[in-house]
Amino acid sequence: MHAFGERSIRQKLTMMGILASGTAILLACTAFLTYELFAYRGDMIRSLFTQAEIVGANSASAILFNDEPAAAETLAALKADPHIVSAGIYTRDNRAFAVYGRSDKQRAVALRERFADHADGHWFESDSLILFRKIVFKGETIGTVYIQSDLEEMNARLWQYLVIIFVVFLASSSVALFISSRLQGKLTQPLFHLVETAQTVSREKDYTIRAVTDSKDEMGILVRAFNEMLVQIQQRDAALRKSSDEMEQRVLERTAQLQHANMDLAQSEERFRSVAQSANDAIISADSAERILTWNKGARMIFGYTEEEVVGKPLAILMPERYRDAHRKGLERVRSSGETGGSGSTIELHGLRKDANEFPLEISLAAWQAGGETFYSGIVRDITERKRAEEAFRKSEEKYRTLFNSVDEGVCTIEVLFDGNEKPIDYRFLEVNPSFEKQTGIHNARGRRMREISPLHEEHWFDMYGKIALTGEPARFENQAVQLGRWFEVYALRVGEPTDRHVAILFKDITERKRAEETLRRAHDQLEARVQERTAEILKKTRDLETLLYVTSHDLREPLRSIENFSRMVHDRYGKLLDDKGRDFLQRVVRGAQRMDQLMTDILALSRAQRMELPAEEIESESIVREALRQLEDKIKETGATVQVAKNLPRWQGNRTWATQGVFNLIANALKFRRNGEAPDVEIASYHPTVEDGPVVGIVVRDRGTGVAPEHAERIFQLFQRAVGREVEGTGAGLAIVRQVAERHGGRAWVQPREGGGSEFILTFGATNGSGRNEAP
Amino acid sequence: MLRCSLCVCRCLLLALGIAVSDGVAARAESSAPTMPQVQAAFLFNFAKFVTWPNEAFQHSGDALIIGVIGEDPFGSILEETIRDKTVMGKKLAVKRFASIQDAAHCHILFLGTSEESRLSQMMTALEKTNILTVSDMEQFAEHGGMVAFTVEDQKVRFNVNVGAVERAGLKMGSQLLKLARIVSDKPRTGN
Repeated sequence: MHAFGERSIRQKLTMMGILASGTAILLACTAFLTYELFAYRGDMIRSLFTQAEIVGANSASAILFNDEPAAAETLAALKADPHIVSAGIYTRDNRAFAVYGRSDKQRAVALRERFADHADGHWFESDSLILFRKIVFKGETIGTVYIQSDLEEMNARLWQYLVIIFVVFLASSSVALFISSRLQGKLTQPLFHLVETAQTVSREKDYTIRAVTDSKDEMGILVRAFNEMLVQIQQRDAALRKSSDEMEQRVLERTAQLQHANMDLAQSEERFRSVAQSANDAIISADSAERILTWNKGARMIFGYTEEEVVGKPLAILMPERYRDAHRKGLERVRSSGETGGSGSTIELHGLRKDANEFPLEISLAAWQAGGETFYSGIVRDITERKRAEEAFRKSEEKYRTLFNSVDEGVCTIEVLFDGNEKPIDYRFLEVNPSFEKQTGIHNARGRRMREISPLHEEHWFDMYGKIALTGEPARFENQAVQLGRWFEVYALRVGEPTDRHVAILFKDITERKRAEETLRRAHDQLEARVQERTAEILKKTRDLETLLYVTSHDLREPLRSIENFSRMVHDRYGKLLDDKGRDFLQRVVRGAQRMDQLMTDILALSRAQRMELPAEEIESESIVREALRQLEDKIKETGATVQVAKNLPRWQGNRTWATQGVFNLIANALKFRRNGEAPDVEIASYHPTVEDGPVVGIVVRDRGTGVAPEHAERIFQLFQRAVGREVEGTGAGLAIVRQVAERHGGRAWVQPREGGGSEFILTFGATNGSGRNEAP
Repeated sequence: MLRCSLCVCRCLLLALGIAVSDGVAARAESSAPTMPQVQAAFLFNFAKFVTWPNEAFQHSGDALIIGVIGEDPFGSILEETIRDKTVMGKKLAVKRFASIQDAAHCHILFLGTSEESRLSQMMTALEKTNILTVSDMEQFAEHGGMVAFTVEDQKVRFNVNVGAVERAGLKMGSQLLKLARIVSDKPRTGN
């Protein structure tokens, strides 16, 4: 079985195949063989039986007639069957009647042995089949036949079968072997593949290899599981690798860290040493017997002893006599508390320098244990300067305090409280001076919060102080605290560190003053109101007048027209009926009417000008000047005037029509008010406004005319005010219109005398949009 | 199991054999049978091998008659031989005849040697009968007898005249014939 176990799968499979098929074949063959044998035996028996019957029947007569030879002859026929060994016929009385034997020997055997107490029947002996059969002739038993057949045929048959079985077995085994070895490939090949793969993986430790399979049977499952395992191994391997790498990395890092730490430690020691050496403070250490062990530069500076002078000496030499006892106690305390290595206390004492001078010092002690012994260390600071500063401070503090307490104004310091968003919500009084109470009426303010004291205190107070606390900008202001019922004049500033949020406030109660101011203001307001009322009334009246003017002139024009027209018609149609005087009268009527008409027109114009709206139109001064000149073309020709128009006339926003009208009026005046006998010389230029004029642009119309007397300069701009007599035509509305136009455009109109004679009429307009005086009708 | 059944069979057969052989042995009284015994047995046995036409039994009923004419060598042997036996379902009977004419209705007729001289007459008389003639006369068969007993090598044998058998309308089984010596009619030379 071991051998079996150790063989390869192929062999096992093959053997199994052969075994299976062989066993099957064998079983089958054995079954057939057995069947055959039995069948054959049966056949043999039957055959022999038949032969016995035949022999018997044939020898019946011989028996009956005692013809032994005849019987023997019949028997002898059995020779035909080579397998019959011997045969015999016995009479009724069991006497051997005739015998047959294949050989003489056998015959003898037959004779001798087969004396029959053998009955009908048959049996197999070792090498023969023996059969006895009664001979029955015509219903009567007359004898017995005995036949003995050898089993050679059967044996031969048996051998044949065995041979066949053997051959078949061999053949089938070969075929089985063949088929098995062909087919097992299907089974073993994937197995071998897997085995090989596994071995390769194992040998080369390469976990990326995969076995391949495309079958769905157990092998396929195995292969897939195998692959899965490899995947996992690979992953684990990778993870392991990674982890080990990381581990290495960490170890490296740790090592580096340790090295660093060591270096740091070394550096730290170094630093300590240098610190100790460089510190201005004294760093002194002593052993348990209070003998000085270490002495740094600072100690030398403070006490004056050098290291050599002082090491080994007791600590006591560093302090005045009276302290030595207390010092010892102090050390004791430090030692007992410092046994755990805790930090020592800081105390102020006096020390003794080498030159026997006492000085104030601050010392902080510590103790530690090492090797069973206690060591002390102390850091000593020379606080002489500090003490001095403290004293100075104290003095200054006192000065301040005196001031604080005696001054008449209220002085306090507050801490401003903020919420999470840096918004000031409250303040607490830190200090208040005596006058505070007098000024505010608040008792016991110190430590209390303002909101607590005066819940309705206005927000602006908190805002203000908050702002000062944050920005550090001092502020001076007056404000009211309604709940307190007072007005304060306040000067507040930040004090201390910006982070302290402390504000100092100096303030005075100005309630009375405020009240007075209030009263005055109220009176002023009342007056103002009254003035406003009056002005409104006046304006209204003016408006009404203007309206009246407009309406009147407008309405009057019509009848006037009638007068003029009809008068003219009368003059034209019926003039011949009249005399010269009459015609002259009519002419005067017409002229009068015309004049009135003109007057009306001008008044209407002025009225309109007063009500003029200002659509903002971009106006090029040059264009309106040109227009005005065009309109005056005839007049210019008639008077032979020279008109110069300068370049770069201003541009502005306004009402074109009225602007043109204004300019027209000015130029018309210039033409009109010429010197006698002279042609008018007109110049139109840009006016350069001065600072006082404001943001305006302007035109100046210069002439060499008769000029305007200074006392009339204002009057002429008024409606119907003329500086000249009736001999000069005009209604006296022209300049009023000009002024109106200017003022509506946010400018002015005035006249200046010109050097060398003549006048300068200036017309200004607002540069942007001329809002002017908004006097809507 | 085979052994058992064999045992039983053997016992039975033994018993039967004894019973059967008793008869024969008793008659023998000694080991070898006598001539008459043998002949009687033969006569009886002949009946088994010969086929008579149906008419032959008309007068006898269902019995097969063995007749003896002339000298009777058998005594009671013949009766004893045929006692309680049947052949082809027919009982056997023995009759003795004095004259040939009386023997017309038997089936097997034994002629004693005393009738030798009257042989031809008997033959003629028996010509139209279906009787098997048997005798131990010499030359019986040659003279028209059907079965003649002989002795050869101290054994009883017989000759058969097939023609005579046929003439008598009888059929004789080949089994019998093959034991017999076939004889044909000697041509009658007269006598």
